[in-house]
Amino acid sequence: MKKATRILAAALAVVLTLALAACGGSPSAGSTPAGSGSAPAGSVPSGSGPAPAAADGKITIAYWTTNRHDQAYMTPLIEEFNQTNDKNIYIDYQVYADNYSQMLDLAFSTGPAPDVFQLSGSDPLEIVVNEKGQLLDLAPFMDDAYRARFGEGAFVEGINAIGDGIYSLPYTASAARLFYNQDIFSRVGIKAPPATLDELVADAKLITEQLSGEGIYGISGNYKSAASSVSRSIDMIVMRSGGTRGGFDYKTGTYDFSSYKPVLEAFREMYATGVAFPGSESLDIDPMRTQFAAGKIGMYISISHAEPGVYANQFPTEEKWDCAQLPTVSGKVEGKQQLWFGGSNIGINAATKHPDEAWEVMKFLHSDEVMGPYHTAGLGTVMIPSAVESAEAPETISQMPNLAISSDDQNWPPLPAGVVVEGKDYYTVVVECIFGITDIDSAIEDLNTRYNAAYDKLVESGVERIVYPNFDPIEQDTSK
Amino acid sequence: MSAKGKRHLWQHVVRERTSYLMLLPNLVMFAVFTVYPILWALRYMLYDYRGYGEAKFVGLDNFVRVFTRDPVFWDAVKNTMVYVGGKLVLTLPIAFMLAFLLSKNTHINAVSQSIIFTPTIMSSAVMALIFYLLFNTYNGEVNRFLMWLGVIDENVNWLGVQHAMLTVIILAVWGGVGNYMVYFIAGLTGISTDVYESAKLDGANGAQTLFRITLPLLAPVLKMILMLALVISFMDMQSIMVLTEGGPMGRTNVMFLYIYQLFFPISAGSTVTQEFGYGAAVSLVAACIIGLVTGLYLIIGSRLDKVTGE
Repeated sequence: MKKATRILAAALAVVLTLALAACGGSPSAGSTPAGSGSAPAGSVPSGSGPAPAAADGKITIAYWTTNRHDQAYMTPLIEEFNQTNDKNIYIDYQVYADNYSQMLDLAFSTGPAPDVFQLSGSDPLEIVVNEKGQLLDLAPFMDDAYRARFGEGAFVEGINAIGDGIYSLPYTASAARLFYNQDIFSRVGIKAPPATLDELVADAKLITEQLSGEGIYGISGNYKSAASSVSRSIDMIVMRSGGTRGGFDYKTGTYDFSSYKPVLEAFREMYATGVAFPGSESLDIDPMRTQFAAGKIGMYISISHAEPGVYANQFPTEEKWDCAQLPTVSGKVEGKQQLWFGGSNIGINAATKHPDEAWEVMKFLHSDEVMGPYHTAGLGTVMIPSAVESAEAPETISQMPNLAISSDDQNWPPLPAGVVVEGKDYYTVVVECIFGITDIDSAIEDLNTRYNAAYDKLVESGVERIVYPNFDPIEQDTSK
Repeated sequence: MSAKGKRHLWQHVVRERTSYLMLLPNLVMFAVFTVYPILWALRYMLYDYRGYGEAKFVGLDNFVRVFTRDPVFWDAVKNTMVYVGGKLVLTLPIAFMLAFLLSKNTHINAVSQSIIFTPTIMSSAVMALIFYLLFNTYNGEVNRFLMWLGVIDENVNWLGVQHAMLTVIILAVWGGVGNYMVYFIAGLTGISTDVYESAKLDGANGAQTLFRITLPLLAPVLKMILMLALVISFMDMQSIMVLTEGGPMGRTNVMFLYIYQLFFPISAGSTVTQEFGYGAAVSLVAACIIGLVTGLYLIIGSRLDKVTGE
C-alpha cells in the first residue's frame, strides 16, 4: 500500500509538472492572452478611451502600441477621431509595456488579436509575413498619390516590403545615442562628450572617482534585460566602429563576433571595476531613467525618440542633459549605425474582419495632421516627408541636434531569419563578459562556434545563405 | 471486461449518475486544460517546432540536446535546487514556529494569523514589485534600514550576482510562510488535548512536550506538507520572472522560468526564436527530475519511519 502511495505521489508530481509546463508555465504574470481591454499583469495596457463595449454600435478597431511616450499626445487625437469620423469607426487604443511581442503572438494564437498594431520587431518581417501570417498587404489600399507622400525609396525589401507586397509604412525613426548629464560633466570638468571608447571609460571613471561619495556614478545601463541593453549600446557601437551587426558578417555569410572584443573590454573596465552605477546588472530601463533624472548617473545609452518625452512627462527633471553620437573604438565612424527602428512601425492584422476600417485608422495614424505636430512636439523623428514639410522643426532637435537622425544612421540589410542558437544567446554572453563573469576571448570563440553551427543547420534545411561579397559597413553593397 | 462486468459498470454509473454529473464539469476542465496539453507536449517534444510554420520531426534530438548541449538548462537545475533547498529550510521551521505560537484560539492570534497569511493571497507579480522597491540597490528600504541600524556601511547589491538568489528566496519565504503556517495549525489542532494534559501531569516541560509529543504526532502531516512544499517550490517562477527575469546573468534562472522562456522568450532578440518542441522536451526532463526528487523524499521518509518504529 505504501509503495502504491509513493508511486502515486511521484506520478502526481510528474503530471502536475508536465501540465504546468505544457501550458507554457500556466497563466502567469505577463503572459495572459490579452484581448482588447484585458490587462495582463506586468504588461499593463493603459488605453485612453472606454472599453469596446462603450463604442455605441460603432466598428471597433483595436490598436495596440508600446509607445507610452506619445500617449498624452495621441489620446485626445484618437478621442477626437472616435467622435468625428464619418466611417463609424471607434479606435480601441491600448498602450502596452513589457513582453509585447509575446503578448502579440499569444493574441494571434488565441485571439482576439488587434486589428492594427505596432510591429514588435522581435522577428524579421519575412517571418511575420510568411511564417506567422500576421500582416495584411497594404499595397492594394494605396494609390500612386498616397505612395508618393512617403517619398522615394520609402518601401524597402525586408524593412516594410516583401516582393510587391507592402506590410508597414514609414512612420518615425529612432537611433541610439549617448545621453549625459551636463551638470555632472561640468562639475568634474568634462568639456565634451566622449568620442572614443577610451574617453568614455576615462569620463566614467572621473565622475565616479569624484562624485560617488554623493551617490553619483559615471555610467549605467539597463542590464536586467540583456537583449534590450546590448542591442541599444554595444551592438550599435560595434557597427559604428566598423564591426558586424549582431555578429553576422554579410561579406562572408558567417558569424564572427571578434569585432566585439574592444567594445567588451572597454565596458568591462567600467562595469566590472565599480565605476558603473551599483546594481546596473539588475536595472530596468525606467528605474535607470529615474536615477538619471535624479542626477545620480553621468551617462547612459538609449534611444533618441523616447528620452525627450520621458524627461518631459514620465520622470520630469531639473537636471541639464543632452545627447551625443555614440563613441567608437577609434573615434572615427567606420560603419553605419543600425536605426533602432525606422521604415516600419504599424501594420494591419491579416485576419482583421474590418480591413477597410483598419486602413482608415492606418491613414489617420500616418496623416500629416497627426504626424506633423508629432514631429514638432519632438515625440519622434518622423519619416513621412509630407508631414515633416508641413510641420515646424521640433524644439527638442534644435536644442539637442544629436537627437536628429543623421546620415550615419540607416537600416542594415535584414539578418538571417530563423537561426535557432543552442545555449545562451549572445546578449547574455556579452553581459557576462562586461560584468567579468566570462572571459572575453573564450566567449567570442564559443559564440562563433554556436552561431555558425545554428546558421549552417538552417542553411542545410534549404534556406539560402546570405552572402554579399562586396559588403562593407559603410557602403553596404548588397550585390551578390 | 466481460458482458456481466460491463452491465455492472453501467448500472453503477446509472445509480451514481448525480455524482458523475457533478464530477463532469471538473473532468471536462481536466481533460481540456491538463490532459490535452500533456498529450500536446508529448507529441511536440519529438519535433522542431517554433510555434509557427511546419513542425519538423527530429526524433530524440531534443533530448540529446538537453543532456549534451544545453548548459543553460543544467545551470537552471542547479539554481532550482538551491532555491528549493533555501526556501524549504527557511519556510517550514518559521511556519511551524508561528503555528506553534499562534495555534491557541484567541483574538490576537486570529489577527496575527490573518496578517501573516496575507502574502499568500497576493499576486506574485505585486509581491515581486514590492520586493524590488524594498531591495533595489540605489534607494531600497532594506539598505536604508540596515544602514540606519549600522549593520552595513555601504549599499548591498541585493539583486546583483552575489545576492539575487538570496533575495528571491526571501521573497518566496515571505510569500509562502503564511500558507504553511495554516497547514501546521490544522495539524496541531488535530492533536488531542488529552495527550498534552497527560504529559503535564507527568511533569513534562515545554521542550519535552514539543519534541516528544507535538513533533512525533505531527509527523504524518509534516510529511505531506513537505511533499507539497517540495513540488510547489520546484514550480515557482512568476515572482522570479517579475523580480529578476532569471538574472542577473542567469543566477536566478530556475527550471520552470527557463521552460517558460522557451515558449515565450522574455528577451526576444532578432536572432532568438521560441522553441515549442524543445521546450516540451525540457518540460518532460524537468518533470522527471521533480518526480525523482519527490520519490527520493518519499523513500527516505518511509525508511525513517521504519527506523523510528512508526
